[in-house]
Formats: sequence, structure tokens, C-alpha cells
Amino acid sequence: MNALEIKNLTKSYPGFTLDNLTLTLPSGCIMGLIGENGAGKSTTIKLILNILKRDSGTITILGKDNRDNIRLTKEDVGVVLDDVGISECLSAKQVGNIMKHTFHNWDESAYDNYLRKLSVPTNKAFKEFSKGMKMKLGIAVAMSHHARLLILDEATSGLDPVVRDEVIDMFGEFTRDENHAILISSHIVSDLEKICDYIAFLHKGKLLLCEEKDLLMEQYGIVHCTAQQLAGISPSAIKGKKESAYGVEAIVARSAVPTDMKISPIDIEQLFIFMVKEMK
Amino acid sequence: MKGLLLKDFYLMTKYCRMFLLVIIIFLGTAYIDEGNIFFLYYPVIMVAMLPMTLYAYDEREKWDIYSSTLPYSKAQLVSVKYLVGLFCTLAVTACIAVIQALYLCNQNNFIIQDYVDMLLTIFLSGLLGPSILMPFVFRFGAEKGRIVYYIVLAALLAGSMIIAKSNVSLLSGNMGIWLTVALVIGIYIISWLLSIVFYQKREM
Repeated sequence: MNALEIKNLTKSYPGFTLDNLTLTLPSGCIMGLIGENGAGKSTTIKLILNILKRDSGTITILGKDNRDNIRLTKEDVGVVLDDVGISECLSAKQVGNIMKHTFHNWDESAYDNYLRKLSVPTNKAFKEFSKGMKMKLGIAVAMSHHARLLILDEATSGLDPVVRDEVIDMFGEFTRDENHAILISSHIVSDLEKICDYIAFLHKGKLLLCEEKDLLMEQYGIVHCTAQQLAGISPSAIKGKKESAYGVEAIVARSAVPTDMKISPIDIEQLFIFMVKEMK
Repeated sequence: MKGLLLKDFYLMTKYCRMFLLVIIIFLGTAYIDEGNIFFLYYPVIMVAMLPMTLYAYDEREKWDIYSSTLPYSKAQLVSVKYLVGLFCTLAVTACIAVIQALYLCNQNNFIIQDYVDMLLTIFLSGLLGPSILMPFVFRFGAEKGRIVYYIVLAALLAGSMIIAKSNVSLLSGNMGIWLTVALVIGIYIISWLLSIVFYQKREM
């Protein structure tokens, strides 16, 4: 079963349109939603959670339309927003008490374990937390009610590299269960590259691509050549290029590159930057 | 909804301590100042603003968006504020009842009908404030709702002062009392339903 299916999703504001977004997140997988600030990542997440009303399209979460009894569906969804959104005066202990009366499947011992594992103090007020600590509390809450789908909006931002690594491991552990899935948005592409099975690029409200990460790495490569050499490659195979006085650097489909041309592996960040620049 | 009530209770214990202090001072002053009706009315008008104050904190701290990701309906998110308003108004009215009963007994001037009339007027005043305010708050947000808050607060205070000075009860006669009670409760319920509709339509 697919954890999340979005078809032809459109939402317009003055000055911004999320345009005809279609993507599918299979269960057991992690999808990274990559985009610069204002690309439409948070809008997409709010539409998925039915916090915003869509203009058109369909959204299915765990097999159910997101407008059909979304309250029940949210029992199975753990969410971390970029602002977290927990009241400033609350301590982690009080948050636990509130969530115990919020989620039917709230697991107090799991929550305590996550707080210990992430070194979140239990009696300190949320307002005294650092940005990273706030995010860790949000993650602990999202993972303590046996959710099947985690939706994380910039959830790794503000975390120091060691904790970020630890959290990424926790996400990996979470999706070892084939019924679990994660949609995670970030503009820190390196984080997503480590853990994601699928990558979706959003730019100015449009989906540039949505593909399996390994397939992307296999399909595309980076070539350093002259403009003349590049002209010999089919334009449809060129995903993006950067020209300078020293030559051309281009992201190309490996299948279209002549065998005598040297091709280097790409990383997702390069692919994203080249594609966005190509759009400009 | 127990979780939402608990969260608002935690917020009140942190942010609304001054409310409690002012209420105690005003009720104490009312007792000393020979049952001055202004000091009896003001606490209930103050406490009536609690739901809006709590919502303003929710909005500032982005809880309004986060709570929309939790398994609560919009109706529940609205209802919790109305319930908090109702419970707090009841609690303050109960305190006023005790203070006023003590004062009247001390003065040997305890007339049950006047006593009940006054308590009902105070309680209903407490319900009227949020009834007018909350639909605006849920429709436009706390900032714009605050403008309405000041206008309503001024109107309610002026009304209380007129009542206090003229010594006229708005609730004259049994029929009048129960009609007013029904009217104010009706307004409260309509306001509650209207807020739910507004909040369901509002996008965060």
C-alpha cells in the first residue's frame, strides 16, 4: 500500500501557485521533499494534513482521502513542523501528559525513552530550549504514538551534526517496519541524501522531478567538457549546465554520453542546484 | 478534548497568575468597600477575556497550527475555549457569591431575590463578552480580534457603571430574569456555533 498519494494537487495564493503536484510515497520508504525557501514544501505539507484547503486534486493518506475523517487518520500520523508549535511555558513532562489524553496509542515509555535518548530535559520550559532541543521534543512526540506515517517539515534544521546523525538513524529504524513511511522536507539536501529512498524536487510550486534516489544516481552523471563536446549530447539528456571560461559543467543522462567522455557521479544537491538554475 | 483542556489549564497556571491576583484584590476591595458593585463586576469581565487571551498565546506560539496536526476536529479546538470561558466565569461567579453573601449577612440585608438577580447579572455579563468577541477572533485572528476586545470591554464597563449608579436591575420580575438568561445563553451557543463555522473555513 502507498502511505501517501498526491494527484494533480493545486493550490493558489496571490503570487504563488502550487501547480499540479503528483507524487507517491510507498510504505516502507522515506521521501525527501527538496526545495528552496518558498518552493511550496510547507504548503504541500499543510495541504496533506488538510490544514489548508486544496483548490483541486486528490490526497490519500494511508489509503484514505485526507478529507474523510482526518481526525482518525491523524492518530496514525506523526508531525513535526518547522516552528514545532508547542506552547512556550510547557515542559516535556506536561507535553507528555497532554499527548496522553490526545492520542489513543500514546506510549508513555516510548516517549520517556526518546526524551532520554535525545537528552531532552523533562522539567524545563519549552521557551528555554534551543532551536535544536525544541525540534528534538517535537520528534519525540511524533514518534511516541505508534504513527505509521511521519511528516517532517524541516525537522533536522537546528540540530547539531551529532544529534542530526542520531535522529536520521532513528528515522531509518522507523522505516524498517514496512508499514511505516516518512515524508521529510528540507533545504539541507545532504541530510536527505543520506536517508531518502525517493527524492522530489520542488521549485516555485512546480515539481521538477520525483524519482528513486538510487535510480537518479544511476541515471545521471556530471561531465566537464567544452561547449562543442556538450553540443554533441542530445539537449533532452541535459538536465542542467554551468558555463565558465574554463569550459562547461553539465548534469546529463549517462545513457546519452559518448563512451569516450569522462563522467563523474553526481550528488543530489548538485542535481537540484543545476536543475533549479536551468529553470531560471 | 481532555488533552486540550489540560494544555489550557497549564497555560493559565503560568500566564494568568496576575488575573487571579487582581480578582482576589477586587473581591477583597468589594467586601471592604461595602459591596461596591464595580469591584464585583470587574473580575467577571476580566475572566471573560481569558479565552481570547489563551487563543492569542496559541497563535503567537504557533500552537494553533500544531494543534491542527493533532487528532482534534476544528469544532473541538474552538469548543475548548468556550468551555474554559464557561468554567472560569462560573468559578469567579461562585467566589463573588460567597463574598456578597458574607457582606449581606454581615449587614443583615440578605434578600434572596436581589442576591440571585445580581449573581445572574454578573454571570451573564461574563458570558456576553466572549460571545461577542470569539467569533471575530476565530474569523480574523487574535490581533484583529483585540481591537474588538477593547471596544467591547469599554462598552461592558460603561454598562456596568450605569447599572451600578442607577441601581436598576436589568432583570426585573421572574419572567424578565428567565428571558434574559435564555437570551444570553442563546447568544453564547450561537456564538460558539458561529466560531466553529468560521474556524472550519479559516486557513492557517
